[in-house]
Amino acid sequence: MSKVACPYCYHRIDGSKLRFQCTGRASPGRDRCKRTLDEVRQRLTGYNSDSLPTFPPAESRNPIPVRTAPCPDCGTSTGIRACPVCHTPLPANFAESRSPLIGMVGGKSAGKTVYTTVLAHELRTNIRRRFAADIWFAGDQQGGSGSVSDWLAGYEQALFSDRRLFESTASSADGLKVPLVLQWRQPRRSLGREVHSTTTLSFYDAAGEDMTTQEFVNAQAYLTSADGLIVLLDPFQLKGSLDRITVPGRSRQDADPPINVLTRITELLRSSGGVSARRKITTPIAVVFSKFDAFFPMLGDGHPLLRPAPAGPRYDEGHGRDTDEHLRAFLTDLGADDIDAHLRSHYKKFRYFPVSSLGAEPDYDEGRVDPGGVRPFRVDEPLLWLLGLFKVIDRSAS
Amino acid sequence: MVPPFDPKAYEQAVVKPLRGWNGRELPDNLLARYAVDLAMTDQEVERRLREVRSRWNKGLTSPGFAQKVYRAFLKADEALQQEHGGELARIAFWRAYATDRKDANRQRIEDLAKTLRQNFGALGLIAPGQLDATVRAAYGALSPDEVDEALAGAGVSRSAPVELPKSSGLLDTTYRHLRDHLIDAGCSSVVELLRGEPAPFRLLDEGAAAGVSAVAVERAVARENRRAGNQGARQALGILATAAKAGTDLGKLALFHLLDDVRKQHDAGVPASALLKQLLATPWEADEARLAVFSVLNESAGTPMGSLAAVRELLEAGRLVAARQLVSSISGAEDAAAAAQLVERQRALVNELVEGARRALRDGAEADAGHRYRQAAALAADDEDLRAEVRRIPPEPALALVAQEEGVAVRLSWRPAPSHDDATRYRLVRREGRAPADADDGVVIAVESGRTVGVDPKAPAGTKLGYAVFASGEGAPWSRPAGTVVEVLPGVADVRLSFADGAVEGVWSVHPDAIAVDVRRGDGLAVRVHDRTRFRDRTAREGTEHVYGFVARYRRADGTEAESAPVRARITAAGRPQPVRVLSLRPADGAAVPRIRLSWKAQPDAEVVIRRASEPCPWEFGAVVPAAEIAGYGEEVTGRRDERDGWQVLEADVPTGSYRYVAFTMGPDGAIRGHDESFGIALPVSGVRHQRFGDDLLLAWEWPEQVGTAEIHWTGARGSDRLLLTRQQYQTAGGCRIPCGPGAATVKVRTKVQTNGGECVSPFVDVVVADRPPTVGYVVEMTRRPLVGGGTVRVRLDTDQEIARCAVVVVAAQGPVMPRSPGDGVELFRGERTLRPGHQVELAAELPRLRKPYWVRCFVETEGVRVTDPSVKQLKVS
Repeated sequence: MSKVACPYCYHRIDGSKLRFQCTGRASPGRDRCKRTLDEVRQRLTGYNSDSLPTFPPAESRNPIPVRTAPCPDCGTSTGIRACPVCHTPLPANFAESRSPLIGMVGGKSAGKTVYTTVLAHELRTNIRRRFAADIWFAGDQQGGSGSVSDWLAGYEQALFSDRRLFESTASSADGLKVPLVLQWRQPRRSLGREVHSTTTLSFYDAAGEDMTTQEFVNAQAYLTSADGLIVLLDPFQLKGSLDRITVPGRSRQDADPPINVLTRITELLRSSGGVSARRKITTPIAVVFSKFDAFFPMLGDGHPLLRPAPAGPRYDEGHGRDTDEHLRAFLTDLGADDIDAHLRSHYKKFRYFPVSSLGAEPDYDEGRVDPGGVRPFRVDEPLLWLLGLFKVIDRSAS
Repeated sequence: MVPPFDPKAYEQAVVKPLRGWNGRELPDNLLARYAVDLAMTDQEVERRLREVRSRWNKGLTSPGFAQKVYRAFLKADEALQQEHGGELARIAFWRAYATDRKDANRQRIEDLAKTLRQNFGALGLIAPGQLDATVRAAYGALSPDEVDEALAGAGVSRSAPVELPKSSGLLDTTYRHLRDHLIDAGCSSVVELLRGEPAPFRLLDEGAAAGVSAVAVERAVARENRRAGNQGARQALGILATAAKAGTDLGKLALFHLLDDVRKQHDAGVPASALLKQLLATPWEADEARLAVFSVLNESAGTPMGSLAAVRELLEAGRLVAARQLVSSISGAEDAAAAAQLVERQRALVNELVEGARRALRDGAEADAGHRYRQAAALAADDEDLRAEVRRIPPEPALALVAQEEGVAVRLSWRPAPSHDDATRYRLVRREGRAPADADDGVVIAVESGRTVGVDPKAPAGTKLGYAVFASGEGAPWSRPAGTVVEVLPGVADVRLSFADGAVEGVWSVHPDAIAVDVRRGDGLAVRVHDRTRFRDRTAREGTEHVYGFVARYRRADGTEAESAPVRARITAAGRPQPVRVLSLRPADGAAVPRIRLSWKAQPDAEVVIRRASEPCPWEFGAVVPAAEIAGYGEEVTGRRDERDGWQVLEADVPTGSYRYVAFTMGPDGAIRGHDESFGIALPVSGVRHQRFGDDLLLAWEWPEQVGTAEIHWTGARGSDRLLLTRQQYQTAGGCRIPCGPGAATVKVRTKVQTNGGECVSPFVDVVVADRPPTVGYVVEMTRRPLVGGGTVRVRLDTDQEIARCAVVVVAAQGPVMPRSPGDGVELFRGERTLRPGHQVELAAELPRLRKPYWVRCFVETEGVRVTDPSVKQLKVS
């Protein structure tokens, strides 16, 4: 079986050699297993709470992988699978589903956390409806306070209901942080029958500070394991932006040119992936320019970048390519064509996306979202492009 | 009983004080080093030596300086054992040692005490760091107890310097004026000015400093107001009062004033004792004055050494002034130059923003100026002058001040500027002849927060009056005026006609400046008026409807007369008042507040009163209710009345929610209960804005509290439609998206709220979406010649509106980036064509040989015409 990346520790693991985790139920005549601190899991994922023991499946010559196994300590049969490296319980059917790991990176103040929150909201509402898919956050492995669902709910409440911005994401110690793992289950027609396929997606929202030095980038293990990357760049840092739009004062201070962020990521992908100097990096990279609402007045009403994508349960390749080319021209207009030159030199597959998570400029001084609320602009397209490439969703012909 | 050996306490008492030990000489207090108590027995001494040595050996694995200390202890112990052998384990040895050491150390303690007295005796204070450094430098052999003894002998105590304010919190010029006024007032300090007498005071502890407050300033102002003269004190108090309103910390200001001279004199080399003397004369409490001087002395001593990283950090934190100060303390020439460059860059940016802001202020663009100032302030948050300048930006002026006569008063209304909020205050000022130029130029009518209407009940009539409204924010000056000039000629108000004893009687109110009121009956008869406010017309025929016209006359300043607009009232002589049979209600459009419009069939001879209540009306339709009783039912709905086409119209501001509105016709026997109607009104949405995305329109607005549903009506190029949208749907969809198509559109939004009394709707808020400019679309077809290269290009143009002589350029360009203007490539075609909707115009041109990838793109150079590109697939060849 092919190797997939664990969505929690980012190590490539063999889907046929997953461990089992005890259910914690007692079996007749034997004591139930106790939760204890799993040091391996703690070291690799930063998970500090007690957890039930995990164990490898019994050695067998049968080539068909077993679905359940008895716990060697308490004897209870379990079907909960866990990562053989970090021992974190994996979503049900993880072994049988495709599990692309999508890394979310970007420069400081590019708006990654806001983007992740709005994208998660879109996934659970509009995208789910559009694709008639069931999308849910898989096994909240960290559980309790500070869990994925907790912080996501907190962020959604802050953005959508309280119209409040949140502070910068803190850097994660040792590059460890809880990823957002979601499962996408969608009906498909196969040989005339309707079958359901499940895909596990893992997002990691890195603190922007993590991208400011090469050492930090190196520490981000998930980058090297990612099947696709969404790179958020702050368009306010593009060379010509200052002359064309009013850039918020705070953005003037946190200046880290997008090309620097891209260069560091390229260095990491090249060195860790052993990509030869003559070849290009094959990891697809969605280059997202966030806070794009600031450019709406500059572009004017009928600009191709403001045209909505055609509706339907697919990624529209033609519309995506148009957007890509117009953004390339936009970058050249702003004197930021070094970004395009860099991407063309190093990446086999990349595409530009204009995105605005909030849809209107927030009040940075007061930390408030626009009074009209959150109005996401094309936030779904980078993810849908990657999902189209991974064949999770359909792509319309270009 | 000797206490057991406690390793932690030992480390705390013996090892930790040696942090920073220079390695030359260990403290010679062996009793402390070996933790020996003179009350021990020989066995206890032996055991203690064992325990201590064990601790030393374990300590060799300790990190940092402790390891060095333990190693030195062990080395010294080895030497002692060689010298004294087994004697060390006997208490007699330690007792003899203690006696000898006491005599030897006495001299050192006295020497340290003398040094401390000479150098720190003037203030009697020494910083812990200074003491440690002094002891390490020359008295390393003394134990901490002995150092304490020397301190006590010198009359010096340990104290940490306190943080003192580095700025006054006022503008430099304001502060200089304050200082001069204090000198004029004969006050040595702000505290003395506030108290009115030179009594001892404290300022450094927060509780005492709290006495220097806005309240104390108010008290002092009241005190000075009771006295004559002392202009200096009054002016100083004026500055303090303004500072207190602006949020300046008066305690810090008082401290800064006291220490301003002390700092300057210290820089000039004045000794500490002289500095202290002048502070004690203020009269500041001695212990605080000593601590203040001590802290000033330590300010210069403690100036941190700068580094490039520190400067960068300060700049990133928006502390430009601090960064500039730190640059001079960077030792490395390269780092200093780089830091200076960084500081200079940020300073230039700040200057550019400030200059831009000042220009914007001069041009009357306060919002832009505020935005630029805020950006500058974010980069130089510690620049007091800049912050003070930011505080001095006036808000944008209010918009569209309108003055209208309302009864005998003048009603003024205006619109807030987009940057105004609920906290914005408005001052209405009136002046005769012209509009007031500033907020003090005339009679102040009202100062209101959050309201956009005002009434001038005492407006003089018969003269031209200028009104202006000025806006102000928290601590900001008044804005530019939004003004208007009107000639106020109020008509009569509250006209009541009645028919009694065969005559029509009329009463009304009129502006006191009116010189006369002319009343004329509909048939042209002039009616005699008494006291300008009443008439009795005995000639009115019974059973006939009569209309009376009222005109108030005024005398202008130039002696000419002016007349008010006529007010008409009608009565049917002896006609019996009828109950109101039809009462219609609807929200008044275009109002920012809940406002309804009520209308009913006018009865010429009767007054109709509308009452609003949350409970049903207790009387039957047609019942005659004594006037005193109806006052107990709800409250009367008042507002602007008008009569149109025989219908009385009343527009009134009402609370949100559902209420029952009942009409009462006032008759001689009481009020006749008329028709009633339930009606609910909700708060309208605010701040509606829109953005086109293709043919869709994305609307956004601010939802009022407690409102969950909005109804949207629109009329656009694709016809009319409506949509009901919940707040949750709005949130999920990221605003309200409507397919209004290209071209102009009109959108109306209103809210709906379900209450126990039924559905409440708000007035519509209208949005007009401007038409898009004429748009040219095109299709590109390329016929390429294989191998040879080049070929033919055909471009077919179409448009949505007719464009005469549309200048079109078709361009081909090589490279990965599409041409963004005709200059980016080779022109294949340039010419003018007349375009009509539904009629395609084809252009053909030769395509030259080009290296792939290459592009063919069409541009339109006619002003006001936009071109829409087709899919990139048609434009790009790769």
